[in-house]
Amino acid sequence: MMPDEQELVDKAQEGDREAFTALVRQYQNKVFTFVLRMTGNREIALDLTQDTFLAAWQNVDGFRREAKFSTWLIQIAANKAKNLLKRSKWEQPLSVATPEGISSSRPDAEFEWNQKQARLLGLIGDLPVGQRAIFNLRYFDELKFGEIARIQNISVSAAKTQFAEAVKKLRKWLGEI
Amino acid sequence: MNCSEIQKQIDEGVTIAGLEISPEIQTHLESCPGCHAYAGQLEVLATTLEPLSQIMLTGEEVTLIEAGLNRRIDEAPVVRGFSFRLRLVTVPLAVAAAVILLFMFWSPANHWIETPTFTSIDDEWSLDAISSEDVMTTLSNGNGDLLPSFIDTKTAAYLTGQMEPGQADDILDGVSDAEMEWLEKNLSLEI
Repeated sequence: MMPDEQELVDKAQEGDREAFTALVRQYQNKVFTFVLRMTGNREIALDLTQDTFLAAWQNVDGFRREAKFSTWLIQIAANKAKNLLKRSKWEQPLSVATPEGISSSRPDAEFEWNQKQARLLGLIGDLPVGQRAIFNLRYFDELKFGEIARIQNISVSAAKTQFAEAVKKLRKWLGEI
Repeated sequence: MNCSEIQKQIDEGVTIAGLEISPEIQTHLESCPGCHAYAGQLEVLATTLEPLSQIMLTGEEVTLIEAGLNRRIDEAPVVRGFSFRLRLVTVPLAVAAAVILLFMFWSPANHWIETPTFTSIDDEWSLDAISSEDVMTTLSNGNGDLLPSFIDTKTAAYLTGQMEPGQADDILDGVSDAEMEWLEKNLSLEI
């Protein structure tokens, strides 16, 4: 953990809202993109991002620095997303938000670009929830398998196997498009 | 390792940053066209998924998240800081106090009195559980036969002052010295 981040976490644990807000600003995009890749729906991803940081604020006392703060946040986000998907019985492939609703960082983003993102989110949404989380955590967030295993509460070998399965499926589906 | 295992490790090694593989696998790829082609397909995967790495929050969304979060935190304040450290001290103290209180009130009332540790043949009674009040209550309820064997009804009657001392000598023969000592001490008797 960077020293300034450690200081922010220490202050947040003392109840410093400004310090926590700084942490929110540092990691909200990371959390948002993860839950968006999990749910494929931008509005729901925004709600889950808020839920994640609220839970983090309420439980920051419980952060023990055994892992990085960002990993701890993603663990909360993953649990929130999985619980929502199970409650909503969204283990079926999601209906992805329209391309108009999926913006990108490119100010000149074209419809085609947004359409690509929407289609890809739909593909990832076809993966089972657990596999989807593992794929997102490894491929996009580049977490080590040990961290992923801790987040998902599975063994390292199970995490590797699930990830390899997800890669194989995506490789096959993309080849069929 | 065979090609199947190599390809599994290739799948495990792919991230948005590229392919993470060991030097051993890299050497294999240079000599195995099949695995080399397999690894090459992953580059297609990476290129295809690249747009998903470009997803960002808009400025409006950032404002929405922060405003909503602040409102929800204000609605459900959490006490932190000093009270957190205070809990580290008070919780163990509370647990210790609860254990002490449980020990004090759960134990028999005369636990603190040193008594012989033997018990009677009656399961419900033991020397350290008998008081003169127990004897009186048992007798008045007509349950003299519930008294421990070393205190028969007549002995109990004597012990509770219902008999004259000289009248009970012959029925105390079955009471051991230790039991006698206990009776004298705990029921405040002069035998």
